Amino acid sequence: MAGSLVYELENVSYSYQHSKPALEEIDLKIALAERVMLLGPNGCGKSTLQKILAGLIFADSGKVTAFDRKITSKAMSDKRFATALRQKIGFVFQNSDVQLFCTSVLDEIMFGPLTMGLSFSEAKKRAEDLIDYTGIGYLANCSPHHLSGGEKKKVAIAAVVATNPEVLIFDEPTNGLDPKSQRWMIDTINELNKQGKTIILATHYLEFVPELADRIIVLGENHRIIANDLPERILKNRNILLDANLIDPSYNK
Amino acid sequence: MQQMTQEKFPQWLQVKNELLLPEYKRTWLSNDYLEKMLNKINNALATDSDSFNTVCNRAILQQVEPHTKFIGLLVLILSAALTKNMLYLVGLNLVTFGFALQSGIRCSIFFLRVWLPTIMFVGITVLPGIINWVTPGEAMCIVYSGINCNIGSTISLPTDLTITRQGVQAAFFVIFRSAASLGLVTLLIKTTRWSILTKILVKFGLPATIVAVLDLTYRYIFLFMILLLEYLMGRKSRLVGAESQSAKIAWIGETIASFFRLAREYSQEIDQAMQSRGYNGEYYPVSNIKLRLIDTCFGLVVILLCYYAAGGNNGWIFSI
Ligand SMILES: Nc1ncnc2c1ncn2[C@@H]1O[C@H](COP(=O)(O)OP(=O)(O)OP(=O)(O)O)[C@@H](O)[C@H]1O
Ligand SMILES: [Mg+2]
Repeated sequence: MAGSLVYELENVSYSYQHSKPALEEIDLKIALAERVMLLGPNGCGKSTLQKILAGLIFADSGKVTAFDRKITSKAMSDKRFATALRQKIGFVFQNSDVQLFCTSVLDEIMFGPLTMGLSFSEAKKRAEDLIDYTGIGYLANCSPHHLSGGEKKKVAIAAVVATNPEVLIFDEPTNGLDPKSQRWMIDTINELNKQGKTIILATHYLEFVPELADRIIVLGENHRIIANDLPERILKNRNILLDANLIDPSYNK
Repeated sequence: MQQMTQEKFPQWLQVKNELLLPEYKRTWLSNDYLEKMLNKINNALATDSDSFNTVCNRAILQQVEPHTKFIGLLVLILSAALTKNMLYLVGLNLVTFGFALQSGIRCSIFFLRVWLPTIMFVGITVLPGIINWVTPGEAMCIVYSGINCNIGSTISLPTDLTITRQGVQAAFFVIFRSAASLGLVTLLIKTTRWSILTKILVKFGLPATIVAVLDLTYRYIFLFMILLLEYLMGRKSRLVGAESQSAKIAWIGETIASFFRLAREYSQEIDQAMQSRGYNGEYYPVSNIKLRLIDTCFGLVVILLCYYAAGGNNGWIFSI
């Protein structure tokens, strides 16, 4: 059972600037194939926590363990280690712009598989599969930069999933998507989870909670975890929802 | 429908990657220097703009009405430039330092902002002035005397080299004046919100366009810094293999290009967003100035200091 733990965070704090914490004393465990949802008001540190989980920034204090290894900036400066970790973790950014850098959608999706060392034909096969799956065939040869926000998001997801990571981190994935694409997104995430992927997702939308979360972590304005529980219990707890700006006081249920 | 998705779902995505992470080897090389440097710059900038918020409420200068503070500190800078009273200059430096500490500016920052540049730039340029070749006068310390030293046949050095009282005095004046002015400017910047400061500058006659450019540059720097950091991270998160050296070099070019593209797209959007909010390059001055007791006290302190600067037998520079 111990082997099925993906993440373990102990007493993790982080701040971008002195005396202005972004995260404080975070304790957290995430199991393999779990769907964890991060909820909380703007600026509470959801994106920051996700970046720490992805090994992109490093805790100022405390301990971050992923796949039984400590994640530190020292460890990540070992190329072999960093490469292995990045293959295991995929991160879909809140702002897709910063994640797309190739000249065509096809190249964009092939970038990961190719750097992983797959052959050109294998990489191409993966890209084509994903283009089929996401239904963006008509965009395959466009430049990613000229797409709409929602289309960029789909390309970003395809590009991240192309390396078949074990953990997928989504930062507000449904933002800016039309209802049909939102539905597609939810189904895709759940499908990925069914294949055994661990999902860590940040959002503000309560309506997706029942179908997207096995467990909910609520971060408060104080940058600490104020709740860590099953979705049913959190949804019933009006005080926590109010604290996290997830409902406004006029909301009644 | 569900069945359809099931079928379309790529086979290879169902393969589990069960490789363990390797033990990492210690290396002294760290390859995220670019990010680290950007982070540092970003933090330095952010500390500047945010210092106001992190400061304790007891700080006096934060509570003084910005216009009063601006004029008051300007007058003090002028007094430092004009006074011939050494004691006053030293005192002014001490008062400035005291206010800095009281306003929550850390010693190290004050030193970095005020004394380091003073000593480096001013100190080095005025140092030659202390010897008798440049500033003739009463000798305080004799380096050599009565030696004939010739370089070649044309140049001969003076027979004496002494450090003169007048030279040292002049050097001290320059150094302490610069330090006082820098210190006062630091106080002004660190205790006033940037947005208010720029509006005051417009009010006091700096052309609005210059201030608008200053203001925008400041905002853009932040935005682009964060954008660039995110961009580097966005790419790093997708680097799942070793890159060849040539790919790395290509990447630098790519990064610059992509970043300029991003920056352009964003600045267009910012511009459009600002225009849609009615921005036309003009600033509206801060309205309703209310003077309170603390402002009056501040004004009195400034007047008192100026009186002292002008008083004694070493009065204003003009009085001679
Ligand atoms: N690059 C940065 N530099 C400085 N401060 C930052 C930076 N990024 C985030 N912060 C600060 O860190 C805190 C947490 O930010 P974070 O982006 O993690 O919030 P979030 O929960 O994702 O918010 P949102 O719901 O708006 O996306 C905020 O107070 C923010 O101001
Ligand atoms: Mg966020």
